[in-house]
Amino acid sequence: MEVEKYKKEIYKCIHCKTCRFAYSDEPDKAGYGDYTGIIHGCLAGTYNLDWEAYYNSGKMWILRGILEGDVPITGDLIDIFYMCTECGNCQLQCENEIPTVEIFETFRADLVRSGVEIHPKHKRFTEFAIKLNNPYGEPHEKRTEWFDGEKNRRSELAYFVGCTSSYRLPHVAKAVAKLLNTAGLEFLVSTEEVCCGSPLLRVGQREVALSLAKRNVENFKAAGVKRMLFSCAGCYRTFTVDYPKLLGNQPFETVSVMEMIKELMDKGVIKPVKSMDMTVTWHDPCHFGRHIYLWKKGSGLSKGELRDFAKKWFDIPREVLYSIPGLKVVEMYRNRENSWCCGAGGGVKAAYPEMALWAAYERIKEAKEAGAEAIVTSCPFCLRNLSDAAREFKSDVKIIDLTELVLQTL
Amino acid sequence: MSYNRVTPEVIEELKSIVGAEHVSDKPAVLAAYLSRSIMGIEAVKPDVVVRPKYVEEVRKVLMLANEYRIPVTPMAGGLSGGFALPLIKPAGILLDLSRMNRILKVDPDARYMVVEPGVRNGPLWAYFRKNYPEYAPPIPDGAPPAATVVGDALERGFTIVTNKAGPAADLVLGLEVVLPTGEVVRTGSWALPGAQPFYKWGLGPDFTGIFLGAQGTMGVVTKLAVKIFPHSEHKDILAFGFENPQDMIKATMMVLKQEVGVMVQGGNWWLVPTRLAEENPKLADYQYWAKLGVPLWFMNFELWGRDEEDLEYQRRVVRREMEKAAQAGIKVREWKLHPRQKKSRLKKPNKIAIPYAKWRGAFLFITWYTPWMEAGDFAEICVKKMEEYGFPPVFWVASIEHGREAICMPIVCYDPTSPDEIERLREFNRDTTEMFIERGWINYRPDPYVHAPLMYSRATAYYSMLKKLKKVFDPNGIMHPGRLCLP
Ligand SMILES: Cc1cc2nc3c(=O)[nH]c(=O)nc-3n(C[C@H](O)[C@H](O)[C@H](O)COP(=O)(O)OP(=O)(O)OC[C@H]3O[C@@H](n4cnc5c(N)ncnc54)[C@H](O)[C@@H]3O)c2cc1C
Ligand code: SF4
Ligand code: SF4
Repeated sequence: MEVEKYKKEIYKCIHCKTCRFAYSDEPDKAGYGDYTGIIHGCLAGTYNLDWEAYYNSGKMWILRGILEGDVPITGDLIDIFYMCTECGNCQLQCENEIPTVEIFETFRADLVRSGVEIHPKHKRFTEFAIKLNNPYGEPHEKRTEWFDGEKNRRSELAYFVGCTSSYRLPHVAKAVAKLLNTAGLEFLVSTEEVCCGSPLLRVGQREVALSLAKRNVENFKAAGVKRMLFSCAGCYRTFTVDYPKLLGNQPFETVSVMEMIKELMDKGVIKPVKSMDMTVTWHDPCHFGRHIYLWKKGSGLSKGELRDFAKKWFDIPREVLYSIPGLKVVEMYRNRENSWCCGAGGGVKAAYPEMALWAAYERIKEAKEAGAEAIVTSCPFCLRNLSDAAREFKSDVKIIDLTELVLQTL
Repeated sequence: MSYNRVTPEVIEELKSIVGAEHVSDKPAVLAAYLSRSIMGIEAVKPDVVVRPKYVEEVRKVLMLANEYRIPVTPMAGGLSGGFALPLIKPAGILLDLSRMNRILKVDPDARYMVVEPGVRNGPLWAYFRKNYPEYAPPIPDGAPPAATVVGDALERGFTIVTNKAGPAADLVLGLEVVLPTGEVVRTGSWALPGAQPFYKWGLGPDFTGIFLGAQGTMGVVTKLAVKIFPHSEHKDILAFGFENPQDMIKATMMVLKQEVGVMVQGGNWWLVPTRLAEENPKLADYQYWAKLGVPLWFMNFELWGRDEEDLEYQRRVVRREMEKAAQAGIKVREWKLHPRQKKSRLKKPNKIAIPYAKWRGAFLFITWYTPWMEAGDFAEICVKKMEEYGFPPVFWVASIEHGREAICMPIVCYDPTSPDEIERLREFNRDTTEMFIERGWINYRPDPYVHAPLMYSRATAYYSMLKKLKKVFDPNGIMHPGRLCLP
């Protein structure tokens, strides 16, 4: 089993259960309502009635049992290991620096290879990805249907749209295109774009992900792209963190739409002028936020450098919001690297939709208690899941895409 | 003593008591509870996990287990390493009490709280900060946020105010315990129906103590009434460095006699590198740390003042006594801590003790109680023996009740993937235990294969009485069999 390569890390777990909390090192952190001090931070364990098996700490000891031949590989492991958004909170909290997310992904790949029955929804979206280049089962030709500009226009800047914005939230993609047009930037929207592979990687379908990654890289390399722009946090993380691991360093720089907006504002290319009379809060998508933080942490930054990076990185979307006239910005209690995940990642939205909705509603309640009328974010996965939960639980909290919000103010 | 296995019929009965969703015998779910680290490496997987929410459910589970003669292991936070896990096979029921997590009462006048076993330190601390900021619950000093006050009291651990108030067990005002026979008893003044838990010695002879240090072998504690303490916003840490453990213990005694400080703890320089990084020759060389000002041996004095004036007075007392120690020929210097170091030490609960796994992959705290003035000898033996057995000599010590006793702890950093090293660890434990018991020192959390047998083989009269008492509380011997060498 491939997870064996993490034996040393897995055995480092002392079973202290700290990784179930957010702000595990900030006992005196003041908050509001019930959001105060050390607080739960693991969706998997909290949703599953606090059963230890679903928390990261429990999973580390199950893996130890598996490595020692004490726990059989059976279908029971599927729910335990897949009812987890791989949000990385556990990895953040662990003082022994156990790379939990990598371990989960590797073990999920082992499960896939072991032949146990994987979740039918994951099976289905993998088949779709193989056949149609996207996990939603939509025809490839329709991928760029949303775009009314010139497709495949050669340009150093490419907008990697991703499957969710292409097929499910085209308004997000349209907003990004509009932003780029407003800024006078030329960009490529490629009809050859295929799923970045993120959902496949997260659920352990390594080979499928790898073949998609190769196609994307070849395509964008051949198109002479120097800079890849992402409005999807999952695609951004996959290109930034996973592709170099899978395929070596790439010749293009990756940039998130939050960075792009900030950059355009700093250069004076765009400027929010219209006032917005609203109180909003920012939801940090895990793949833009904590995952990038952890990746940087693992890259050997000193404590001080990491602190500086975190401040700058997490401030980007916040500074964008602060610059909008009239907009009042409040913080949810769990924010930045300690954020509560929206609940959609890691294959959860597909396989365990009720858990995904529950997690998103937890987030909406947190926003509401912070006094926010709207949650602003910048990931189609988060946007979709939070919007679904707001609808399902009849919440009046609005869910808004950052790019769309900014466009309204120009 | 022979025990029965958990049959499918028993599982059905358990489900009917606590609800099917709170019972599991799936191998992976059982394995998720395992722990062979921190405090104890001897533990086996339970046969079934049952998670009651109410006292009545606990009662029914125990009566069922008693009837079928099935072992029961109670677990609160499960942070005592292997100690909250079964020891023998058939392993029986693991009673995971984490769903019993209510803070039932806080009385700021009589200064106590009543909590259930599943109340964890992190959320409890947050609750006090929000609702009773002038008080602090007696959480264990260095235990992570998922540990519990109930577990710590039952273990007789050390709290954030241990130097002032004694071990966690001393703070207990009353217990509610469910016995395997189905009886529910309260102790202390609480035993009188309608009475508050204000007087710990209760109605005539009180048997609270039989459940403290029992490692779950006597019954299941479902409620704890425990003292709370004034929480100060005026805190400081002073640290002093020494050249050897004897000097450290003697000089510290001079301060302790003045009865200042809520927590007084220290140890040797090895405490620093072993929680920072993987084993690394540069960091294992004291010269590296000497240049950074880390003393060979050091003691931290955590001071809580009623106000700034009181805090300043306490600082003066500590410095004055250290000055006297210097005049008496002890080499002592104040170790000026960086504000960030102070902040991290003052944080409660904290994560300070978790990363000792970094150095070699795992660690074991082997904790002993000694008279304070003998802690220097203890430290010297430990350091020598750890080196002899090939472990970095990481040593920690704290004062209990102003130096009436010391809690001493070798922190054995070992490689958990190496069976040889684990065997060496066992040998180290056996070897040192023989020496320590010979000296009259007491293990804090006696393990079942080394500490308890060696200790009870000497204290035969006590052990025989303990077994008789166990029969009274647990006639079929179902409670956590094997622990403390009790059937
Ligand atoms: C990194 C680290 C640092 C630590 N630092 C400290 C420290 O500074 N001070 C300190 O004192 N301890 C410390 N500990 C030890 C431990 O965490 C504490 O003693 C803790 O409070 C134990 O509580 P628990 O709920 O986790 O107990 P558990 O592990 O659940 O149980 C402890 C024992 O009591 C029994 N038990 C549990 N609940 C019941 C019940 N309701 N009825 C009857 N028996 C029961 C169990 O069977 C077991 O034998 C530390 C542990 C770790 C991992
Ligand atoms: S993964 Fe880390 S934080 Fe979580 S229980 Fe293990 S050692 Fe503790
Ligand atoms: S990745 Fe997130 S959901 Fe999964 S175990 Fe860790 S904290 Fe829980």
